Amino acid sequence: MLKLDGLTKTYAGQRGVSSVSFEVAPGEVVGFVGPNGAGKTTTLRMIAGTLEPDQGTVQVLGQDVWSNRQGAQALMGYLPEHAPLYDDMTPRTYLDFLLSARGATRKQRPELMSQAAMRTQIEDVLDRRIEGLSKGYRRRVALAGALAHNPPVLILDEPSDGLDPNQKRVTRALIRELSPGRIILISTHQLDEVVHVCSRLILIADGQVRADQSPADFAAQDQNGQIDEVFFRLTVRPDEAAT
Amino acid sequence: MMAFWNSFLAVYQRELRQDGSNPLAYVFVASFVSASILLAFQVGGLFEAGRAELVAFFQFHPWLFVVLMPALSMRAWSDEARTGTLETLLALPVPTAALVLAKFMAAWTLACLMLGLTTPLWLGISLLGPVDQGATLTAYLGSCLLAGAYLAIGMAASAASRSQVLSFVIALGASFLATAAGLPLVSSTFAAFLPLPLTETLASLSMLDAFSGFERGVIEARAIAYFLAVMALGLCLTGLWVDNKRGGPR
Repeated sequence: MLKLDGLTKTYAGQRGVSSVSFEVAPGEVVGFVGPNGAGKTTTLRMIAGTLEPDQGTVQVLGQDVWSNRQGAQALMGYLPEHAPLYDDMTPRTYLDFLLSARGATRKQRPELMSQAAMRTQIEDVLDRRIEGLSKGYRRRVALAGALAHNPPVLILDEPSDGLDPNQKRVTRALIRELSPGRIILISTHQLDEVVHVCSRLILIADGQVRADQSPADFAAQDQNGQIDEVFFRLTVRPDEAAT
Repeated sequence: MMAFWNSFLAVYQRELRQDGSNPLAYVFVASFVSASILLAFQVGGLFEAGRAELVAFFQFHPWLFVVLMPALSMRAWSDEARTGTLETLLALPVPTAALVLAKFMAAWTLACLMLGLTTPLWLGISLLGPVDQGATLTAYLGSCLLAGAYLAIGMAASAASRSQVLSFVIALGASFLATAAGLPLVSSTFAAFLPLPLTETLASLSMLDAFSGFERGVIEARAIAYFLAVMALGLCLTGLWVDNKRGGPR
């Protein structure tokens, strides 16, 4: 179980995230949606152990992220926003670096690496410098880095951002393939991605959870079943509504 | 403990590979080797002294390091923060101390290799006359420790800022102060407005003061303790600043 309890973070006097609480069970793929600046990345960073909350706790399969950070991080694969990578490395050396830093043995690493490369379809660029890769390949290399060690929990910040429709299709299929028995939390702007991939939707706006239900139930709040209409109604600010 | 060393080795090797593939690292090494030898001959009068010794070569190391070590360390953390890869590093189940130590040791390894490339000068002088080999080896040891101390200051500056330029300037300023505090001119300036014991204490905390024994071929426990303390302080500050990045916006 991934369990967030009262997660709060304040930036320079302004509330970034306020009392965010939810639980995700193994096998669930949760779409974490919200407008820009709603607090999605802040929440994901607090789960991944890269940003300390002011209040609240995060538990990953029973391990508290902030009292046993390394234990919890060992259970997670995290794709940060914008998929940062080391440009001077190749995907092969990058994955080898991440796996060795995570304690995989020299014997385990080639197998784990080829499995991750196959899943994310980066085998043909494994030995090219990351610097010269397209945005789509870079995103997939970063995704391979997040899942290379076969973690039971995946935290993905906009995994299909920058991918073309075919690559998005492959990534969505991959997420569905990985979902049995795993906890997957995906932050995304793309509501169609939530409909296609997620079993549950959590909407965050102004740092607070506004909805937590299945994508079908969420869409059913509109007469015509338009998910983006419901999203608009729940997240729009008065000044935006006027325009 | 095993996890610590696994992650230490992974980051250490990555840093060394990065230096190996970075043309700037070669420019940096070439600059040090040529500048140190040029200064020894042109300014230090290595030949004119008429003695087979390398004091004229080692005496410029503190001043060269004041500029070169901040340049070597400025990218270490600020670049990770700028490109966002710090987020990847911080998400690994790795103690902050392992990350800090690995990056420092990789930079120190490069600095020691750079010093190693000047040994042909030592061999050349040895052919001209009897060199005190023990004293020269001691001076090299001192130079390695001195480089480590400057690098630790540079690492802390790099962790404190996202800008490489700002990191360089901070490290340069701090290193210059830590070096110049031992100069008679600076001591006498301090003496004009500070009590004498404080002036003497400041002068005794200078890198120049700690390095002077090594230059003469003398290993002083006090000087070793000083360099190790500067390194420990620099690395603790680096660790604090890296951990601090978990507390706020990138």
